Amino acid sequence: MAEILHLQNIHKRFGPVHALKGVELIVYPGEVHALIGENGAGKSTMMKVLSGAHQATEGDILLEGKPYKPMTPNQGRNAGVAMIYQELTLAPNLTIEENITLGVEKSKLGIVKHEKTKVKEALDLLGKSHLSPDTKVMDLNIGTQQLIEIARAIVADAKIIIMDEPTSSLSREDTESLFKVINKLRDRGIAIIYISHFLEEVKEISDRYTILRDGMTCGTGMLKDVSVPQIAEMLVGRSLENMYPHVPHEIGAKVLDVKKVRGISLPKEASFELRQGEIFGIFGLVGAGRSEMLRCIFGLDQLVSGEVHIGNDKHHAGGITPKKSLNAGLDLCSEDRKTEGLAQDMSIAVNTTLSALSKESNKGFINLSDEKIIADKWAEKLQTKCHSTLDPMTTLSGGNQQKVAIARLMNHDSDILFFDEPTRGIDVGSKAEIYKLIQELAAQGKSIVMVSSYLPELQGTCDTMAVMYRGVLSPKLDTSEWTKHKVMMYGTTGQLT
Amino acid sequence: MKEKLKSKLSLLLPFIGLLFVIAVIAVFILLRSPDKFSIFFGSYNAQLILKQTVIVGIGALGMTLVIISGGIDLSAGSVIALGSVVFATVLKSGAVDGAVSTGIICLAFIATVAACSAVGGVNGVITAKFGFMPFIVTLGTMQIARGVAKWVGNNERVRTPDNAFQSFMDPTPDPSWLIFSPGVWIMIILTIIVAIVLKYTVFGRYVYAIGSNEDTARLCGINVEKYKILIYVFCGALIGVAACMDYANLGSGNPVGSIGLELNIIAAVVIGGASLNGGEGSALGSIIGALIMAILVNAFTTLSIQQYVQEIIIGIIIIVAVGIDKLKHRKTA
Amino acid sequence: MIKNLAIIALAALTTLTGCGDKSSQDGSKSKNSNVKKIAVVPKAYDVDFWKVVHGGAAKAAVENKNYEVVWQPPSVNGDSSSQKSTLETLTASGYDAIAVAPIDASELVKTVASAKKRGVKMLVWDSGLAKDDSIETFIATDNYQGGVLCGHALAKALGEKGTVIMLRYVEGSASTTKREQGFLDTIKKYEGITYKEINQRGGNDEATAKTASETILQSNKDSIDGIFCPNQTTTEGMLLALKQLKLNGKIKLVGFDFNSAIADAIKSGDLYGTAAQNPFRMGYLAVTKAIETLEGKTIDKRVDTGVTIVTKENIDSAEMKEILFPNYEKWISESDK
Repeated sequence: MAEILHLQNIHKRFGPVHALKGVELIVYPGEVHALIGENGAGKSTMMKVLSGAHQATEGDILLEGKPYKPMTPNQGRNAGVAMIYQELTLAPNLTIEENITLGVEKSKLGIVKHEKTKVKEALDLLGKSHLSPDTKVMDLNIGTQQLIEIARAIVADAKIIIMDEPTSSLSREDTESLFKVINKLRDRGIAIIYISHFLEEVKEISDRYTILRDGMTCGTGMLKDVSVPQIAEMLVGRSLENMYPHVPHEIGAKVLDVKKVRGISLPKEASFELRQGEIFGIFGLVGAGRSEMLRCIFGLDQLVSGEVHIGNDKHHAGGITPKKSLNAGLDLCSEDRKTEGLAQDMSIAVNTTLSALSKESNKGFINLSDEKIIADKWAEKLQTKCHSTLDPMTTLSGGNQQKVAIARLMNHDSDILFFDEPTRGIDVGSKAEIYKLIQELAAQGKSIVMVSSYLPELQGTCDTMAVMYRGVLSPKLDTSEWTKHKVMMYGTTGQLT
Repeated sequence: MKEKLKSKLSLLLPFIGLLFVIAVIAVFILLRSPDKFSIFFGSYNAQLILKQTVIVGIGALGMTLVIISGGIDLSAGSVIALGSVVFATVLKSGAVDGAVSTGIICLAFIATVAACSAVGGVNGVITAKFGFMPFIVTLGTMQIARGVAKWVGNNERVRTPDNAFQSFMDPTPDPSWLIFSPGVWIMIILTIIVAIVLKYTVFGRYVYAIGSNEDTARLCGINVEKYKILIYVFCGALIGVAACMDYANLGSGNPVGSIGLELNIIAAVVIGGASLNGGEGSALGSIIGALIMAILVNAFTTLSIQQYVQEIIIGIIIIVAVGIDKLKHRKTA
Repeated sequence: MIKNLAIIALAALTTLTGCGDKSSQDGSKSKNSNVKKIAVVPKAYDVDFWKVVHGGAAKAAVENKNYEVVWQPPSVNGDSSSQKSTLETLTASGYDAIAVAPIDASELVKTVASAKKRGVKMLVWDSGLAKDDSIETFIATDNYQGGVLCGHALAKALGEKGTVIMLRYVEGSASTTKREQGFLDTIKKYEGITYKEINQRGGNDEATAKTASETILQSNKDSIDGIFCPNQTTTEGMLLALKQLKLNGKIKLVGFDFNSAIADAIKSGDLYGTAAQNPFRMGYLAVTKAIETLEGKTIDKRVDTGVTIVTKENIDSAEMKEILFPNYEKWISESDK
């Protein structure tokens, strides 16, 4: 079959930075082509060159055999290259139809012509024929919004659709319906470039792969010929002996006792005990109420009933605030780095010391040089990759941002740490580092609660586990007792047997 | 089906608010001064209230565009003062032997709308091209427009010979078959135009898109800068019409008039269901917002309720309007 | 949603009713629609001067219980557009007579005329109207005469020689324009006195007047000996600026209007003198003349309420006290009962 897209020896320089050093990529029509690489490997730059947001410094792109040099995203879109970004790019107040036709409306004398049939066809193809084109996008869940982005590409007659981390914020259910859609698009002869960190997922949906490392192509082939560990090794460029390193840690006395907590809508009922040096994992599907439970215990959301004992302190429903929790030695690392976990526009140093400010300030004044020294110390310890700790958070990759978030917790030095989806949206190499960090924290005698929707990382990292189903937390068992079947059984039905 | 119903309901919300305010006032009048009931709900008072809505209402139409696009225009009050001065100055210098011809009135109208659009253009260019916050930019042009108004008006009210345009804001129109004053009809026609522009044109679609998610709009190939400038110019033009009506109302151009009027205009838009975060709002809603404010002030005067009570109640209504808006969103989120 | 609306409705109703009762106006005690109703519309509501006028009107209301008298300021202080709306609404709500103090001489002409057409007796007080053919009478201080008295007073203070300026009030206010003219015509008759025109006005409130005064004084303090201010806000604003620059007493100031702050300034010598109007009498006359009109009596087209110059010498005299310190609060609270 003739190739639809061929990137030949693409170079891209940003001043002195050589981001792409001769990248090659060949995509055929009707295939799902996985593009894999760690953060900073050059995937985003490459896709921006392809979609027209950046221009290559050197090299050629052939689209259906003809030279292709888009100067703006709109030119790329008109040539049939559609980009679906990691962050959704829909206008929430507009309807489905308005979003799909935005920027390419057909009009007569300025009056918009409706294209409901075209939109409807696209929705049918996506298996969402029950949706009305007049529904506002903000009334849809995230999974459906993602599909609307795809519908936009279909209506624009895209030949190539680039999906950047499309499943990073989707539940398993939505991911599966997305895969069905991808399969349908493949059947129509559309080429899909699929970028993802989830290697299992990549293996499930893609036909071929190309691996990027340090701005260079370092492997391409059929996915059925390689295993997940093999991909991971190619990614990191060294052998990943152990994705889930184990640091010996001892489990001691009870430090946290959560008794029948109940939030406004979630959680419904959750009880567990946590011991010193224990890593306790909580699995559950998106929407099961895991994050809400952590937030209630920490005091960010209101607790309706139940009790929380931290050490010897007893907290009742209504009396918990984040400040009290922090003073009692309980800290939370939010799942949402972008809007809650970190102040994105502020510097790494400010973010590192934010929650321990009262400890470091002198009569309300902040010693800025001390602040930098502290931040530098943690950046070195956690191997955060940054030019300076005075740079804003936005200059860091996802994995490094997460390290800063963890550095904030470590700097505050609480004894009980809640990690909500600590590895969401970060690359394999950084994930392994985070798992190691969590183990090391436990070895220092910290007690850890880790929430995740990715079962292997919980099984690889935690000592004990529980599963949440519709706001109800299962009893805590040793990780070894949780078979995959048992986890899924409880996670989808609320029954252990 | 359910979604359709929901969207219909949110369209009706301003109407429900209007009926609710009228009902509360009716109950209150019946409790306090039943003799005033027939006066308040009389036809003359209806003509009067609509007429008293005109200036804020037309201004609110322009503000609606800006607020939907995620901006704000604090210069509106000063620009109305400037516009009224421009109108009066053109009339004054065009008058022959104390008489003003229809041609001069048309010229004054065009000059006023042009002058106010120009201020809108300045707001738009600075906001769009230099990326300044519209709040700060229009805070600046608010002062500048006020200063220019005083300069043009030589620090004084600009007096003009009596003319036909001044009757555009009489509560009872002549001829009487018009039912409402010409100003009210101008407001109604402009409301329909703005509603159509917002709902059916590409321009209107982009106003919502820019306010809803500017990055998305840019990604979809919309020339955000160009449209922002157009939005502010359009807003300026409507404020210009409001300025003409302000002249018609007082019969002179007052450089120190309409102080703080921008806040009433913004309040009307917010009561009408627009969100200051952008992406939401409607022409009809804003007019109803202006109407609700006019009805309240009229009712307070009719019932001789003191100033501070009026201020407290209007304040409460603004907050309740925002509250209902938030409630609406929580339901749909 | 419906539950929420109901709660809001209930809350709004209670608020309205609650506040409404507290704010019960002079006339609300009578719900009888046969009683004739009079509205008095000032220019503003939060300046002492208008409160004293309110007191006079209240006294007249107390003395004439068979009339309903309502005090109705415009919803925006000193804003003629807002005053016009207030007047229109009052006309629509069935008042028999309205006594108004126009913020602008010409902008209310049409509104007053159309009110007369709807059968409302219109009286104008404090400031005049550009066309007075629709009004029953004009009740006011003779402002020109007041300005003349101030001119003589300032000349006396300066020993009939020196340079003087005037901080004009906002443009378009007929009363202050006349005071300014009266002052100007008088001061120019003194050969030893030079008048210097300042191209800056005092604005609507004390704060603006003070800012304007500071600017004027900064550039002119060495060349001027006397100042005239044509109303309360300009007088107080100028006084503040003079004190701030430690020029109080050195530059002779003659003001217009009277209140406790101005009284203190006269006693301390910061202010040489002021023209005291009789606002209490003005409010009283506005209501009584309206009543006379409604009773069909013929009244004069022009009613003067008088001006007196107050200085350190006469401020404590008995007849001054009568004019300067009427017990307006007593009358307002009595009429509210």
